[in-house]
Amino acid sequence: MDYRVLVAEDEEIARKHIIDTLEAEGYEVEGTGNGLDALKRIESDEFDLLIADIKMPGMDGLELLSRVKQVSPGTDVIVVTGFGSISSAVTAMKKGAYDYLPKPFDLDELLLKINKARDRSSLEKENRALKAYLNMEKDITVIAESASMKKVLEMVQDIQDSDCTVLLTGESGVGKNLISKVVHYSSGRRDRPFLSLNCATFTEDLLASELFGHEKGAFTGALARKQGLMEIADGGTLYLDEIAELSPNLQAKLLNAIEDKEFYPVGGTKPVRVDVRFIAATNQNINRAIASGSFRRDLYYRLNVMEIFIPILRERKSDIVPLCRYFLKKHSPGYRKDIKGFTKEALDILKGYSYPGNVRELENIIERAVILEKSSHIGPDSLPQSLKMFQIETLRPDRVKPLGEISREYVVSVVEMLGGNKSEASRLLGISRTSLWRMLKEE
Amino acid sequence: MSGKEILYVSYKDEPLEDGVSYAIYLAGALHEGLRVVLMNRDGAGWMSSEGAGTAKVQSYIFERCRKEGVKVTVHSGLLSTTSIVRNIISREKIDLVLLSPLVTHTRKVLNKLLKLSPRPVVTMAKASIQNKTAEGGKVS
Repeated sequence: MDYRVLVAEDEEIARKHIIDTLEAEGYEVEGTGNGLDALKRIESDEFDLLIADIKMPGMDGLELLSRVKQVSPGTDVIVVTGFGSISSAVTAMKKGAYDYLPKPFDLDELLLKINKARDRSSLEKENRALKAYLNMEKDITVIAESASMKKVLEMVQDIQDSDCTVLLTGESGVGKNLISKVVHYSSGRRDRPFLSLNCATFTEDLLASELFGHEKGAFTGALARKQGLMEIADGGTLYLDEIAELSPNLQAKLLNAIEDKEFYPVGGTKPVRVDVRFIAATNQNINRAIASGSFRRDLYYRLNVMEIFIPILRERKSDIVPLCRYFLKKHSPGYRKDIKGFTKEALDILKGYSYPGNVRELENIIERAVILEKSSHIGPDSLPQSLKMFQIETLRPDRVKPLGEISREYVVSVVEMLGGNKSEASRLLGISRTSLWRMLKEE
Repeated sequence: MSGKEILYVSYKDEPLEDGVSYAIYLAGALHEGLRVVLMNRDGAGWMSSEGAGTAKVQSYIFERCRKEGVKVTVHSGLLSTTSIVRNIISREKIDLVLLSPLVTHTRKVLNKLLKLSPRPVVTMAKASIQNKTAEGGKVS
């Protein structure tokens, strides 16, 4: 249960009845008979709803209402007024009460009002989340000086009129998230929602609920129906990051949703039809995941209608300096700095480093430098000491070849260079003809 | 925090400043946690209860990470380094495997780790020429 209620009522029996009724309905309830104590509890803890009697020791209900609206505007307040006291009911509503209830009241009537308040609160939370998603930065800048990043943007351009699913691959921090936004905002769906979900940050049950939503009563605590991101993204794009982390159950459910364009919310019996474009991303070697059986081949084929590989930063060095300048411009205003550029020494260090954390790491370095730099240009002293102390190299295991394979490739190239003269090749390589023959045979 | 971690593999008797500082820097820069495996030179994993130096090394790492706001776990056990690393990679969300300068230098260990790691392996070597940090350099 995630809806918390505080009952501020000085009549002990009435308070106990209200608490018992609400607890029986599954609400998390606390009670107090003092207005001042109620305020203290709301200041120190979070409550979704306050039920406040007008007349209370310590602080009356109307004063309590005013104070609560100051310290916790998100807490709804139902004021319990005296019989026929219209003026206090009006005052309460003007002061921002969610509703009022004249005494004596029926507990069912109170319950009805509380259920309404809870449903509205849950809807408001969803709307806030949706607004946050929709108000996401649409002014997207992609730095693409290098040929490989230009190629990425060309691929995005090629599919701007298409609705195909896209699989973004590349190491952590290369900018898959950014490219997913470019794909969405350059498509015909640009005026519809763009939502994203990181599949690695939730447990399976939570992820299912986030993605597909749930019906009221689907599980303990599911007090109201909740729309999943797939439903909210209807007409738009859903970006699923770290797709390789999806459990087998959710992989099956997602596959059905993509194929049938409909899905069942958790605990639901009626399918929900949606029109969503999917963009998925992973930093894993998905072929290895398929080979090991942890990722469904059929889902991979569905997602991988178009694969866009985003290269690592150290393989597109010509992007480093423009990125540095871009991040400097981006972060300087936030720290009220007027930094014009970089010293040559600083740029040399930045250009020479290999960035295992890719663009994300570079942005962090520049932001940190903006904070530390006191002059008009970022110098080496504002860069992390570690960058200057070590030579860093990143090796991708799937790119590493066994030594024997490299040796054989070299032997083959020497034999080819010598026009097939194996005697001369064995002499130059310093190995016997038998060894040479054996290596050539290992194909 | 993304929930992902950098796995840092080091010998327990390496000069700590050398590699740990970079490991902490990288974890902080990527908003990731840090998981440290400290091992003996013979390749066996490090028992946490061994020796008086153990607690000192651990507290140094914890203190540095606390200051930088990096969540850290230090590993110990009786398994070999390869087993520990394989075990951790299969259970945790490891983004990168970072090898200390001395582990990088030990080709046998490096090759073993390269074979078993599905994640990128980052090697460190001390820069041969320290970059000068002169002030007032040319402006680009």
